Amino acid sequence: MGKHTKRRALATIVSTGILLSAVAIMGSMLTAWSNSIFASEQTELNTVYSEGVNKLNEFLVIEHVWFGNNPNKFINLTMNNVGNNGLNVTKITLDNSIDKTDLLITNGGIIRDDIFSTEITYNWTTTDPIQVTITTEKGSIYQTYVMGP
Amino acid sequence: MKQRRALTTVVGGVFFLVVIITAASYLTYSMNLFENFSEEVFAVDQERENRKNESFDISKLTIENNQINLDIYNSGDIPISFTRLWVENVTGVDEVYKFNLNNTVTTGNTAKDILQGLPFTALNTQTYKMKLVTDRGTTKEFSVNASTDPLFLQLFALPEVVPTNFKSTILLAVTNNSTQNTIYTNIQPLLNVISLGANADLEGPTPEPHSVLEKGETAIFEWTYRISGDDEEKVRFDASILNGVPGNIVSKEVEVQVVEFAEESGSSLVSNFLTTLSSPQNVLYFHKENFDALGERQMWASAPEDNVGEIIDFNSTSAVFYTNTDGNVTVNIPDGNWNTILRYISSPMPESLMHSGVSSENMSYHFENDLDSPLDTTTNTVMTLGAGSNRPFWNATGHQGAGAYEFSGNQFASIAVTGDNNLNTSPATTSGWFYAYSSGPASDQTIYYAESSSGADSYKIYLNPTGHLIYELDAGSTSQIAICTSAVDYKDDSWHHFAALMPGENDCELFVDGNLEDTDSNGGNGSINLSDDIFVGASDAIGTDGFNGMLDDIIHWDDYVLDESVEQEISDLFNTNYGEDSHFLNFDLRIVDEFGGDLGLSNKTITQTLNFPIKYSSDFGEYADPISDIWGELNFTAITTEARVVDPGERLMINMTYSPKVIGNLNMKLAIDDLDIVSGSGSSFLQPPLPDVGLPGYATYDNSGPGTIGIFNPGPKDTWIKYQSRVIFKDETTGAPYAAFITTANGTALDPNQDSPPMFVDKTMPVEFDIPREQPGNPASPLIPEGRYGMYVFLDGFDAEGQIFLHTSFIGIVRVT
Repeated sequence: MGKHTKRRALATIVSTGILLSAVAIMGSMLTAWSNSIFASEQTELNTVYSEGVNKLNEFLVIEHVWFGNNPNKFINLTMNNVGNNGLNVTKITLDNSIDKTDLLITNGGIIRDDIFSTEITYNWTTTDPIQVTITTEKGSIYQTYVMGP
Repeated sequence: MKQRRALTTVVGGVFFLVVIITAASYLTYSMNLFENFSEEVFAVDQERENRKNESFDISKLTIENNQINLDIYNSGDIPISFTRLWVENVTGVDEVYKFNLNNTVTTGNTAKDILQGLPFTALNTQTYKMKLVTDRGTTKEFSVNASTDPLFLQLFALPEVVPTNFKSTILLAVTNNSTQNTIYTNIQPLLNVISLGANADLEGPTPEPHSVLEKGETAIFEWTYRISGDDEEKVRFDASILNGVPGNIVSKEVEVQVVEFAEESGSSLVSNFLTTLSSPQNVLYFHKENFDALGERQMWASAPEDNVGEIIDFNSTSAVFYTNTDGNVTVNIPDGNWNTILRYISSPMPESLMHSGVSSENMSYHFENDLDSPLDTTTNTVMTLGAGSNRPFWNATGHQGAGAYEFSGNQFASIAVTGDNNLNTSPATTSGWFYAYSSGPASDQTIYYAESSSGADSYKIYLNPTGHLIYELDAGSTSQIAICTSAVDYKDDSWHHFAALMPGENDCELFVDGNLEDTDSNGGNGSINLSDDIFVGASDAIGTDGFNGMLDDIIHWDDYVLDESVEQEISDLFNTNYGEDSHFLNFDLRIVDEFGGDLGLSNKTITQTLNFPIKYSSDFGEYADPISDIWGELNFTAITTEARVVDPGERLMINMTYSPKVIGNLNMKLAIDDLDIVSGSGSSFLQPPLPDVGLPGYATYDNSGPGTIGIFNPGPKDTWIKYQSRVIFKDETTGAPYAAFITTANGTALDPNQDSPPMFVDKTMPVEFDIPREQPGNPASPLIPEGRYGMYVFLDGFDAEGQIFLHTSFIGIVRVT
């Protein structure tokens, strides 16, 4: 009778250990998994928020466009960053409905309240309106229409 | 077994709690992020709203001494900072300049001469395109000295046919119809005169350049030429814009024409002193007569017949005018400008302040024009500006877009003391608008100053060295001097309204911008009785304690203190606009059916414009009939891009209604049908584009018997007309003429030995004419048939000095029935 009682006590300890270990392992996995998910979501949210806010605060004005002839026909564009953050102009597109000219800009960084001018050799006419499209690094697009004098 | 379950539950619970806390943290973080994002959106939205509310107008642009004088008026709701100016020399090649600016202008104010000091030489002979840029990125482009697009030019000669040695007025209308929204400035007209047999001699001044021409606006340039020559000789006028687009020219010919049946006098003198009804067929005068005009008033191509006009008070009625109807005539009116010229007068005070007797204002100066002796609209007092360097500078758009005087330290205006401003009995009130420069001196700056000859009594309104507004009354008792001091420094480059109230000689109340700033009550004895001149802008005639800034709308009540507690008179006065937006008028101009009913077709509508702004125009004599020709002139232009057709049985209607303001409303009155209004464009009228045939008028003549017309003599001399003066009817379709002699004048029969009775100055005389025939006076000649005719009057006569005249006038379209 006494021997039977000892075996039962041992089995209780072992089964308790196994049960606790299983719970601990499952709990750890659940915790790790939830942390991982939430951290990933937080990073994603941060990225979306930053991009959204930066784009929201981006505001570019095509301040002045003038046309020259010397030595070749060109268009001079001046852009004014009146937004709250610096921005980076990456592309200028000139489209006169016949030809479309893309110009990639590598030095188009404009700090807040500053302007950026660039001169583009372009065979403008006095009859065809030109659609000027400015694209920034964050994907904002600004457009205006001009025509040679 | 129960113990194991409890233990694992606890352990599992701990882990579950960790997960819940992590999720809650993530949720809180997300909410914070969304909140920040919302705030960013609101902030950016506000900035964009500010950009939309940014608005400014060019109020002046001239070039003097190779410098550009540019004034900018902030017409938006927020202050504006100008950061850059782009200048493109269109005359040269590839010349573009960029200048950085640093000028700020507050709402409702004007920044003056903002381009002074720029290292740029501007020439009147060159054309520039300029662009102003604000710190929010708003731009406004304008052209200086020339048009870079073809402008819509119209040239009018009034009249186009004249007897020799008569005058013709040449009007050049320049409309800015730029497709690129360009504003043109410093527009200078060119008029070349080319003789086609006749000669033209300029009389009067050449028109000044037009300062600013916004999109859709029209500038009018006027010349007067005396035309001389033989019958059918002509002179051609070619008009264009200096530095304009080549080919952008309009021409008009004026022809000398002698009436076929007129007796040659051998000596043709100018006779502007005898007129009959006449106007070009596209000048539709507003008449007081309402016969056949649907209970309203007539509108037709006939000048006012006398100097007994009508005053329409917009406070009690609208102004509705109709042309007549004709079941057989179709009138084609081409596209173009429909100009409404109104002669009007503004109420001197808002309704709450329209008092009579001692409660009415005794002095009122609004500085609408630059005069050495500015007008007091009450006619009670005389103001004289200082001379030479002591003369204040008149700023045309100084306050609320209208005139104000600018003082720069030693300028002044003086007002002679009379019973209307000597303060010999209390109470009294003085009000006005002031604009003190922040750069003004740290010393007293006088706005209004007066004293007795002994200097014992004084009445002062001034800024102290710290910029606080002081109202000081000294009735001769040192211990009882009343001083009211504002709580605020007003040297802030902004307009403010003051109302200085004197309930008693030792008591003061000071209101600024409608709010009570200070009171001081001493009761007591003494009285202020002024005897020396009153000074405005300085305290004496050498400019002591001179003001630095602008002053406007100085009004004084010598026996009345404004009431704010019951009538809110001070608030009303503060909210009254004595500038560009004094009144608002609604215009409804359209073609209607014969009963005035709406045809419901868009091509029958010319314009329906609400709240057209009208500037203040002073009056004399408490808003009564004018004592002289001082009516304000309003030009309202509607543009149609397609022709309009008045079909048989239809009428042209214009309905003008007043749009009163809730606070500070000033009423206005319209003057019509009055020959005494001779300045500017004359009496009130509508001028549509020139129709192919005249719009139906109200003149009819029954060919079964003699006809009667009135002839008015505006002076300066009494006149007589002679036998063989006549009327001529010219068939509108065939051009066939019919004529008849004037048989009687005021009942006296004319014959070779009998002239008319004297036609006295300012009187109208009825004259009767026989039934017109192909050959006047020949009973065998065919009579005039029924139809539509252009009617002329040929007058042969002499004046009180024996000078003779021949005069032909067009009366208008007449129906012969």
